[in-house]
Amino acid sequence: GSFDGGRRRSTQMGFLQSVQNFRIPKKNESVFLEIVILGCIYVLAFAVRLFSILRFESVIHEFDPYFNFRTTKYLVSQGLYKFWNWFDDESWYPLGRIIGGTVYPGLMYTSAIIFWILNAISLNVNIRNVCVLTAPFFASNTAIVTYLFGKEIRDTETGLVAAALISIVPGYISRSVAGSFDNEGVAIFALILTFYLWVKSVNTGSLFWSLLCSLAYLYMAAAWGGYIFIINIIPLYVLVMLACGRFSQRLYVAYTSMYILGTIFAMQIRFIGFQAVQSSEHMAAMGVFCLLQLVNFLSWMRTMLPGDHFRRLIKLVFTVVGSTTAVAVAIMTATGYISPWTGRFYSLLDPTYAKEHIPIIASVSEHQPTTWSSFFFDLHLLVFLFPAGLYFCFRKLNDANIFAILYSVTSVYFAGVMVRLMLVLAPAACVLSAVAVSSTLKTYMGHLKKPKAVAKKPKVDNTIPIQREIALVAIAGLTLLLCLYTFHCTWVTSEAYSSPSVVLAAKQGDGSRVIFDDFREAYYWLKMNTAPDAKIMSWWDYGYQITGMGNRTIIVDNNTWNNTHIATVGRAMSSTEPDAYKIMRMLDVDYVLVVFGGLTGYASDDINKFLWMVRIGGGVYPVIKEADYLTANGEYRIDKEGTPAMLNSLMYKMCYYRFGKTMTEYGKPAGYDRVRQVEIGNKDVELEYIEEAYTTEHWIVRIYKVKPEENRWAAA
Amino acid sequence: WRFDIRGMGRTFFRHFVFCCILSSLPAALGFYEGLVNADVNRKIDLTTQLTKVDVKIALNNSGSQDATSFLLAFSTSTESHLSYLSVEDAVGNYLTVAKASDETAPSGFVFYRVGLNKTLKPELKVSVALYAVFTHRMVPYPAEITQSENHLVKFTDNHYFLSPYRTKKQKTTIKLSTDNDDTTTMTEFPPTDKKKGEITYGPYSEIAPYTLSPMELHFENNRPFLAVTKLLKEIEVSHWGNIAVEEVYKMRNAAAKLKGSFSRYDYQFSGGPSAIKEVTGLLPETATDIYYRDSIGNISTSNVLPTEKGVQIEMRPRFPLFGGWKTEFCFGYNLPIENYVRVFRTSGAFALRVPFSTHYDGVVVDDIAVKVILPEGARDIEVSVPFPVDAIEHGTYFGTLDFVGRPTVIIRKSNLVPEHTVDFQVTYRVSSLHLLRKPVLVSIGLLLLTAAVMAYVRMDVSISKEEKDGKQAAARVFELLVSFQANEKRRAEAYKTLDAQHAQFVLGKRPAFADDTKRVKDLNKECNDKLQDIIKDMKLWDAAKVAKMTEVATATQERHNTVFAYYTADLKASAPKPSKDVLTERHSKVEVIETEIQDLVRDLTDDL
Repeated sequence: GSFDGGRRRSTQMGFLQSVQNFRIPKKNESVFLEIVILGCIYVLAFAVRLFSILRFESVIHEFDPYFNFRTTKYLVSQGLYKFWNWFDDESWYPLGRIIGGTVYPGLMYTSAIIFWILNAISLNVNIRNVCVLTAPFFASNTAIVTYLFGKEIRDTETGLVAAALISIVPGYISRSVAGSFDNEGVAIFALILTFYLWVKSVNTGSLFWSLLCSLAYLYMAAAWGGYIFIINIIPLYVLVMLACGRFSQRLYVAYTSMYILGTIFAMQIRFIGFQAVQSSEHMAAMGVFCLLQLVNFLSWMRTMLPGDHFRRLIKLVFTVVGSTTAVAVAIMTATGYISPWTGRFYSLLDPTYAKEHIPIIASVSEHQPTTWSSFFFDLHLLVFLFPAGLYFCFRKLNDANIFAILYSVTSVYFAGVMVRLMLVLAPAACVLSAVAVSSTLKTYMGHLKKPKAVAKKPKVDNTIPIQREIALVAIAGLTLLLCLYTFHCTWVTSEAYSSPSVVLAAKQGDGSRVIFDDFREAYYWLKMNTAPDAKIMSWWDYGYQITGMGNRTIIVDNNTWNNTHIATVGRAMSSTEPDAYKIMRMLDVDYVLVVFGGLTGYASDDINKFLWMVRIGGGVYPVIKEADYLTANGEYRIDKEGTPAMLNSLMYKMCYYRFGKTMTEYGKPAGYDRVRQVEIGNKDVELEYIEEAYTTEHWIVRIYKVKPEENRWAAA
Repeated sequence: WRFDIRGMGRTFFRHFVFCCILSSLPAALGFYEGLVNADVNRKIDLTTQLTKVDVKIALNNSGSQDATSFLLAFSTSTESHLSYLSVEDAVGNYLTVAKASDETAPSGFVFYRVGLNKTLKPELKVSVALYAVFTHRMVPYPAEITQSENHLVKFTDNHYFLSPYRTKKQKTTIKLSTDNDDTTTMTEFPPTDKKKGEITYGPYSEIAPYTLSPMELHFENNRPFLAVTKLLKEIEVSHWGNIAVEEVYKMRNAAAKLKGSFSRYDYQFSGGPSAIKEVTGLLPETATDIYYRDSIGNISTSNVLPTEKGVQIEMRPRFPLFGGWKTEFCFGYNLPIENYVRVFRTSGAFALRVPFSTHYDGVVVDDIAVKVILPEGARDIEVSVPFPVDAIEHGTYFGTLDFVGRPTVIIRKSNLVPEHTVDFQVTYRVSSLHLLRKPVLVSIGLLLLTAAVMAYVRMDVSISKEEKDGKQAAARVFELLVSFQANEKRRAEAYKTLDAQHAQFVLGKRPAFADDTKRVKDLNKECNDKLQDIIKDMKLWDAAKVAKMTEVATATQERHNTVFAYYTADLKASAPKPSKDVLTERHSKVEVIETEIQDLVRDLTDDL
């Protein structure tokens, strides 16, 4: 017995000793540190996006996400096959919309798959929560992919800094807070993943990585229209590489396999289909593909032919190929085989294009050019670190760095054209800033280390070189800046980007928070108290929300695919009541919904959007003239000075019906509009063809019922 | 979790017996004519949307047989609205009530048999109290009203208390919800009286059995006519300590429909008499984590106040409910298990006791399904509800991390009133070992995951022989880098020495400098070849390093060319010796290239 006991004790001792002596090997130590840092970043990226849930609730935000949520619910409940063939008769009445063929389904598939997996391992979650948390989850994944991208471009340290920066960059957070269930949420992940795999495949020249790259491209193409950016920047990169004389077999393998596979994959998305080989947006990629074949062929021929013959061959090839291509493109464009560029694409290349030609694109606030302040607001410190990163990249030029430079420079341009594309710039800014930060820190940290090594010499305190102090100051300064960046990002996230915009919150005089939940009040009223097949007419902004929350048929929605239809609604809103009634009867409209902020001071209401309705309506129906709605001085007024067309338009009447008697502000006359800050011009609005059906508590949403025709006969 | 039989409550026990009898098959009529209603005092309460009838009956056995029970009669149309019925004797004991039918029964009536506690001998009297609650008996009239109009309803009944027995004397008092007698109209059937919302019919005497005399009232009733068309109440019991209750409501304002338009302006100033703004109710005081939402999110217009009796809830729908308007929402809360589940010490069984119906005041529930989700592994499930129900179904529910599913009981019933909000009981047995199932399951899952990761890390799926052994590859790369470093070091030192020799040469102290240059030239060539070999070898392993090494090759070539351009110039016999300034300039030029090479080499050999 005692023998056994002794042995046990000795094994215990051995175990204790081995625990005490346990040390992670040096190599594993850094891996362990990396994993811990990445783990923290992963959690941070997710957690910082939860402000919206804490401040409000777990709810889908804004407009487009409601459509995505609705389609995801359909996908989950009806299955893939029905989703693929879904014809939606609840929108664009009476035209309808083929949803299966007109969406980028990546987002819906993603969250449906997450939902199915979680339920398969018997974690009961509901689809709303999956959708709400999809964007934060993918933001975390983006941080990891950015780490890999940074690592591929430079080194591990850069990767880690890039991951940390992107996890909280406001430009990306704006589109990926909890509840922001939009394509961009997963698309940025797909974008960076594609870029990472692309750089990897260029660096290795391996078919395996090219295949992965084209799969990532497929995911991107499935998720967002922004895949066009990838299919243009990669050929551009190849061109630049050729121009720099950096053509290599690695590049050849990477591009050809990625282009062929990627295009075949992208064609599987119904919405893209043959556009991937026919539309102008994709032609650059095809051209570069052909060019690359030519270059490869010629470089092979060069080894076979004497210089003189080779030069002649080049001349011949260029003449033949150049002229054939030109003729072919001309013919294909003329016959319509290659589709012309879309308006949104034009407006990217020429920022003034939309303003002149397509009011419907110009009317969207996120398509406006970016202001300087919003660059700082969305990127903060990165605005300054970004050029430094460019400098570091140029200093050590290699294939990967060239790609980083190209990506960042083009995205700066696009972000300048459209506010929305700040999203594409943010990752580029993070990676380049990470290059700057890690290079700087590495340099100065090295200076910090050196004196330590010689510190063993006795009494060297006064001989420490000034270099060390400089290094300390530099590191401290950079740390301070990074801290400021963190504070800014947190503040922006919590204050600016975490509002769901379907629920409005305002601070009262005593500091307490008051919630305006009028939108949901109205949509829920529609859902509960109108006939299931009722048709609702409203400006297109609210279309997705009405179908998403109210579950009713609408005339136009945020998809804006049919300009004429939207113009018809714009015309109805701008016409007088009898004229509008004819249009509404034509469209079988049962209810009209308007958003009105005059009582509460909610500025983005329909009266402020009204000129766009007039413009878009007038663009198709010349009876509507913008000038009729503006005073002689060209002012947009709703008070007594307003034009008769304005004061008698359907929109005006619906917004201000019964408003003339309402007192809104102390010391102001009845009918004082708090957004426009004037007393309204037409106080006794009488409605003949429609009647008030519901108005929300704060008057933000007003719903009118279109009277049936029989009533008029009965009255007459 | 000690079980106390007294804690079960006497009421419950009585209800339980009552329930068993009620749910049995209809008994035969077996009519006994000897009974007489000596005195009937009927009170009808119409102050809410419910019709509450309270009848005190003095029953006289004037026949010659013993009576053990008596019959209650309702007209078929009235009985279809009957929701709750109970009969007490004079001291407050509940009597058994069962539906009775027979071919001999007169048509147009429905009968209930009430069993007496004691046999009623001839010539003896007994008094009983009947309490019945009816729903949807007040019909909106007119059926459509505008926003500002008062809500008027029509109520039809019998002037007499309907009975299969002869009634000697009776009186009916009706209480209305309004004091306004002007808007109230009623059928005259003297003696009749109407005073401040209270109507009296009678006293009448000597009424034959089954006498009908249609009574009709028309009056104002602005009290809420809230009807829950469908209620799904889910009670999820977790033996980890919580009972989660979730109630899904479909509601409708059963008052007269809104005619014409709704005006927010008018509503803000004068409201709408028939509109329902909010619903109130009382939850147990231990209720926590209360939520109130619908399919599109949280409903922010609600209030919760802790009071002495319990948690007072005030819930407003998103919009006021006018007549005919509907809404749906979901409402839930948590209860601590120790207050609601008891364990029987002797048998080890558990008993869950929670209220059956809604907590909201004064609402009618048209249809309810109460779903009890018991812990996984529960068996021997028994349900006892203190009133008859339509159906009891058993099923299985798969919740979070469930393996075999949790047993469920669904109890269905239609036409409920607040009187049905009483406790019901579900008893079951479950082994406490089942509690461990989930943690074990999760642990196994994590274990498998970790094992999979371990296996993956150790697994080798590469085809190529060279790539097969990762360690070998790393070792090879290491080896190559070492020789690369040595090679470049050797070369760099050679140039350094040559530079020193050149300095001597400039001073005229090194005549054999031409030979020195030749040596270095050869050495450079040798090093170049070596580097190319290394690069060639490296191509198998690491493309990034190859790229960098190629850069090194270019840079070293550049160094060679630059340095040798100077030396060749100096070595020309005619050339003048370079000045100090020229030398410094040259040095700085070479320094740049040197730094670049050093950087590149350091970059490559950082890992060593």
